Amino acid sequence: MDMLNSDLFYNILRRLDGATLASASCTCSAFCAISKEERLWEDLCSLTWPSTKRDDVKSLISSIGGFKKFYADCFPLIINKDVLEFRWREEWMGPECYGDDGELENVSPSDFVSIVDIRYKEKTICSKVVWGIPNAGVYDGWFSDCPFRIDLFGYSASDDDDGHPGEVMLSVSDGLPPVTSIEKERKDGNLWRDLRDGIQLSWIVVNSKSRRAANLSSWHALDGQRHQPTSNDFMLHFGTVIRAKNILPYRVVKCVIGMKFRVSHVEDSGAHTRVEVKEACLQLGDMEGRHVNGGKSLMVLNKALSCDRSMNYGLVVKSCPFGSNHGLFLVPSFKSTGQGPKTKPYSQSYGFLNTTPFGSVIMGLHEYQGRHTPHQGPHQEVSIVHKFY
Amino acid sequence: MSKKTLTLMSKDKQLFNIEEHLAVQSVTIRNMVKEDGASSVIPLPRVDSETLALVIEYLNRQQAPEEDEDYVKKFVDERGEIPTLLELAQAALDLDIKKLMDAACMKVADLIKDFTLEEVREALRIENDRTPEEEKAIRDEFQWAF
Repeated sequence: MDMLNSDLFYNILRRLDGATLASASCTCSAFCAISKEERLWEDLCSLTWPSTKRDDVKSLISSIGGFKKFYADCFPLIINKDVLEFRWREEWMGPECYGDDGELENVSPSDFVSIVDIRYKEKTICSKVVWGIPNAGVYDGWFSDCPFRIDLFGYSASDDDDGHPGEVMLSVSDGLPPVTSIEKERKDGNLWRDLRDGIQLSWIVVNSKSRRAANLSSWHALDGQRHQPTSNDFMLHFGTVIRAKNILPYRVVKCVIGMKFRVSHVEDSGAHTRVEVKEACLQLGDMEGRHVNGGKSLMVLNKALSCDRSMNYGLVVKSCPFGSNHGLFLVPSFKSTGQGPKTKPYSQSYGFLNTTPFGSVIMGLHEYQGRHTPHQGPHQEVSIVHKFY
Repeated sequence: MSKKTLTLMSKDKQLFNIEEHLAVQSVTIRNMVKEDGASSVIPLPRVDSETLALVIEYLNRQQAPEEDEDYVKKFVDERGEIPTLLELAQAALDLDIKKLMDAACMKVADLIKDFTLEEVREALRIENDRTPEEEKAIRDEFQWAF
């Protein structure tokens, strides 16, 4: 066959997912030249993170090095290789020398921007950008000493009982399973499982001054709680683990992105099941769950932006020892669509002990299997086998 | 009044007849017809006969406009071999049949998704035109993806 036309190559390359585009870029100089086009990466970014279509976000991305760099910084997830090497929990909680090296002076809350995109079953349900750290800067001393949190919505958990409707709602037409009553849901957990497996969250933090960015989320929920604090509420936790060396007296800090859902309607005469997203907030804490104050948090966040990244989703999840006091939460099955994260092949099993909010103990076995069969089309799955006793 | 017929000639000199009102879905052919009335045979020196037969099959489709998207998608799906699709895409590009070209490129992109560097090279028959040093430099730039 004759050499193909470069228009044709461009047309093919612009339809690839990021990782394949990266591979293709390395094949020859013509492809390499095409892959330098920001337009391709801009399209990929807006597919992956709809919030990057906003003009203010576009100019932010251009000012920190462009869409190609942004994609490379934010699509692979943070991996904490130290955690993989720790054999005992004590090791990651163990003390480590640290000192206040005055780094804080160079980090200001207004340097940070959060770019958040939440999907439910491949459909974007929320895209939001938070400039700076809310409530920081107003009372300087207060911020640096208080527990750190970034709230995605303007209100927090404490004032959500005033009947304020959630900004983001999910209904049966979005694919939510109908719930006939909370009592039934409490028994079978259909809705809970559906939310846990269906919600994908990306939380990118940008430091506009140091021109760095990273995704602090895990795309899929790492753990969560059914019915907390009331039987109508569900919590899902996303996040990552960040090195805290030289900043805090422990090695790693958990970055927890909590999402709170509330069932506002069940199937009733004239009403359909509806779930409101009441809260989405990012907090930092040590492995025991103690909060980190604002001042230290800024330093940890800053450090996170230069952490190692990986496309190996299995390893990334393994390096996030989430869950209040047990092993890994499950990773739902997903297929690589060019929009979500791409997994590399892996296979791993975990046994774990889990305590439910009701105090019962479940022992389960997680089996992770990854398949990579490029010649039959992209098909990768992470499947989980549960055995309850 | 009988419908006007055009004759297209492939690279390997095979002749194909097609009604003019169908052939002018190709912007290239439409322009040729406009210019010289396309009196006799239109030569397509870059398209081989198998590919031209596919293009003609596509142009002859009897589809309502709203079903067209699905049809073209199914049409390329059924010809799921990368070399065939590349030829088809190239022909569609030359003949300026946008929908067909986009669909063929989309299908190729779908097929090579998740391929490794070497697999992409093989599938698209790309020759590596760089020194090992240059190749390493570019791989380092995309280190995150490997």
